[in-house]
Amino acid sequence: MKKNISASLEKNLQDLQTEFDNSADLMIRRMQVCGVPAALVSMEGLVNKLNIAESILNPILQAELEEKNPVKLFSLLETRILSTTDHNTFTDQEELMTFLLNGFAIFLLDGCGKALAAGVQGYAYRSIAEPQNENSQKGSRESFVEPFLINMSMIRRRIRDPRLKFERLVVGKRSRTNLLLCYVRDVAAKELVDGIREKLLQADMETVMGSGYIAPFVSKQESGFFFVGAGRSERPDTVCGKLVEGRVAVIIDGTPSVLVLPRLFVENFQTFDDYVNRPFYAFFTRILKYIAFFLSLFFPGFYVATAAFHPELLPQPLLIKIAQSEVSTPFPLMLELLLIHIIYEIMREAGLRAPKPLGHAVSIVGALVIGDMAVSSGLVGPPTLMVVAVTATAAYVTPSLYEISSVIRLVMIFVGGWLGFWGLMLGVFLVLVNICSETVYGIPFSAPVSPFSWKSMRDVFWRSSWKRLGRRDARIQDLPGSKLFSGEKQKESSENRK
Amino acid sequence: MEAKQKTGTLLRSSQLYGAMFVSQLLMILTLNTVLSGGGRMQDFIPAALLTFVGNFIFILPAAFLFKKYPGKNVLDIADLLLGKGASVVRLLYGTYFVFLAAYYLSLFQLFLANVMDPRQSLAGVAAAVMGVAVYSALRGIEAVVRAAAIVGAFTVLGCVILLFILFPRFEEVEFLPFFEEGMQPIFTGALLILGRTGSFVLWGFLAPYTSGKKGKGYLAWNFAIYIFTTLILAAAIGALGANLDAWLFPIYSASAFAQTGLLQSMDTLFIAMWVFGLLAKLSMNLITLQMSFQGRKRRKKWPVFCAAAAASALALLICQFVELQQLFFGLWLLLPATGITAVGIPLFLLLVSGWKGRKRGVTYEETHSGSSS
Repeated sequence: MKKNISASLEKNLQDLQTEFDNSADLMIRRMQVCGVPAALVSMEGLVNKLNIAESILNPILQAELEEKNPVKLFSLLETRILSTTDHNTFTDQEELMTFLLNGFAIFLLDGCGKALAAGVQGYAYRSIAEPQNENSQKGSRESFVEPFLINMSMIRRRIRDPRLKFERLVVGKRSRTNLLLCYVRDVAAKELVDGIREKLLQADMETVMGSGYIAPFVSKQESGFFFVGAGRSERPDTVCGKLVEGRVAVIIDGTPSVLVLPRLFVENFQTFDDYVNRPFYAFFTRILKYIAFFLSLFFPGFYVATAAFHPELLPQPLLIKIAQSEVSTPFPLMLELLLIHIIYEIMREAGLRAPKPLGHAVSIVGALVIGDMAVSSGLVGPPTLMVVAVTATAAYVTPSLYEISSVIRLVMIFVGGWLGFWGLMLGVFLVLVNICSETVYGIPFSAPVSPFSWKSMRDVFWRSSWKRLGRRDARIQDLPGSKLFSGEKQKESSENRK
Repeated sequence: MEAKQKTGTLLRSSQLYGAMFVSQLLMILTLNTVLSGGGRMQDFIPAALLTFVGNFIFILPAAFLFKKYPGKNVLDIADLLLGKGASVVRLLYGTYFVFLAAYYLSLFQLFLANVMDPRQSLAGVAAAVMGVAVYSALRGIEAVVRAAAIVGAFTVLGCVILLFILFPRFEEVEFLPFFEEGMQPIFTGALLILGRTGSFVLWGFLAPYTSGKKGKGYLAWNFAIYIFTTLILAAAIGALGANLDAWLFPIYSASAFAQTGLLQSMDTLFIAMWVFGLLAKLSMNLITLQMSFQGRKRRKKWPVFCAAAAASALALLICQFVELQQLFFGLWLLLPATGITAVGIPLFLLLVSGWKGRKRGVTYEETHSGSSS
């Protein structure tokens, strides 16, 4: 039910005080403008007081006006006196609340059933810094910050195209979090944008405090899918690269990372540096990343299966070394690996959560306990420790896959130790089917590897030169197996809809 | 559009042929003479040429049927022509898929029990393998076909590695004269391969739902299979000679014999190829079986679970009883079953269609124009 702003200033202020229950951060500055009672309402901490004084209070109080009619006076103030760059007039009380809570200053005049919201936002926020999780040697040093409008500007600065569109949405019944749906109009498939918008609006959430809150709503994944069909990036350049390929970004207020949809499996192995390095080196690092991912997932399981079931596979000197080290340890190889991995995960979690001053202590204890004492006390064999070390390091090469690889790895150790190599292969196939089973907004998660497209492979296992990459019109909806319309089909589809 | 509604998707014909390639390669990798009543492995080389021709002949009735009823698979056509009688066709296909799944599963169980680890519980093996196959089948045809394409690439790579390792050991002297025992063993070999080829029925179920060049794809698939069969058999026989005839799993033995660099043998590569191929094959069997039993709208899960349980039980029985092994691994069960499902049923439907058309005096196209578009 729409409720209009009252013409009575006292009633409006009374309503606001009741709504906020006299909250300490509600600021009301009463004044007289040409003898007409007026008030400026704002929220403490969300506005820039200097800006208020310079662009609202000083011009109003110093203005020499003769007008006594409140409606005409309001119009005069709006058009000739106020010097704010961003202001809106409205009559709806709900809009008043939205503007007020978004850091606008609300000007109310007695006898006028309208309000004016002036953009004087100004709150303390972290300045733009280097990305924490997506480091780049040669790329930009900027990363997203918490205020969504700054993130919006960072994208706009990189894509100076009027077809880049930002749509503002509000999600969260209580938090009323601002979101921006960002896409390039003539590149992104309409079905994709509509689908994501619909999912966002349908998200039944009380509060949205980060991208992780809404990722499950928008990634549209089936139950039982191990991976995530929504990517996250804290680099504006990476997000811009994705946008021009037809993807959609969701900027969430208060979160220094942006959701990018849809995300395919192969994107986990692409980094910004791949595109600034020379192609041969990009190819080399990509292959390293794939190898590292497979090592992080299957190496411990393969080690257990080989040592326990297929020792004939190993060269004799290596086999003897493993046998010598294992003969003195009390646990079976599978249990040994499981224990060490779990201890390693505990250490990692402690290092991550412990207060910074304690971090070094955790590292020292971890290095001593796992690295030295476990071997010297005879609980663990050195080859096992070596396997764990290689696996742990390999897992950090693809950080976006760390969560899933750390769990699958434990399962693979168990299966490899229980059933042997063929059991491990059952696990590999299961993971493969899981990867291939998901379709994110009509695009197979496993594309363009399967369904295969030679054209799209130019940026999968290797990265072609910019002469070729720059020439191509790589849109996400053009990938093999995609059920999204593209190009001419998209035009026809939108015309049909009209 | 109808294809999309029926399978929930529209596949590309290249994806289907990829899946069929994996399925066929699995059969080639597990060829043996011990379980199928003796003979020489070498005879499978000329038999492969006969199979190449047979692969074209076996799909002719289905191909004609699809030309007459575009966009419909064998089951749709059976429903259209036979009404309630189509349930017999569905039952026949369902039974065939269970037999085929049991055959491939039992072969793997025998391999594990005889070659890898005799202590492995056969029921445990069946449960683990079928568990993953059921999971894959329930993820849908698209998932399995996409996974099969990756498995196919891996298998081709694996076969190429094996060939590279085995060919330096190739010796012409290992080959005995061909046709020494007449044409009989060669015909038997060709019929054994044809009988174990589940790809005809898979094609009959899925080809109408695919987009792309079906004819050229089939030709490429058949040619690729022929080349791979010949090369793998030639490399294995050229390296190990008549010894292969005495081994239960000759291609495995050849891969175990292969040695390169640090790796003492390539048997793990072979096991990986086998497990991947087996799972792709079993999950496709379960999906096609599910298609056989599903209604027009709902996708029921119970046929998958029941078929998995039935195939596992049958596989365990095959491992237990020699008589069943002789039946399943010889000519007298799978060849007639493949003949009925791949050739017999489509031929019968063609005849019924022709008879009904003559009776009504109009053709199907005239009565159903536009329904298939």
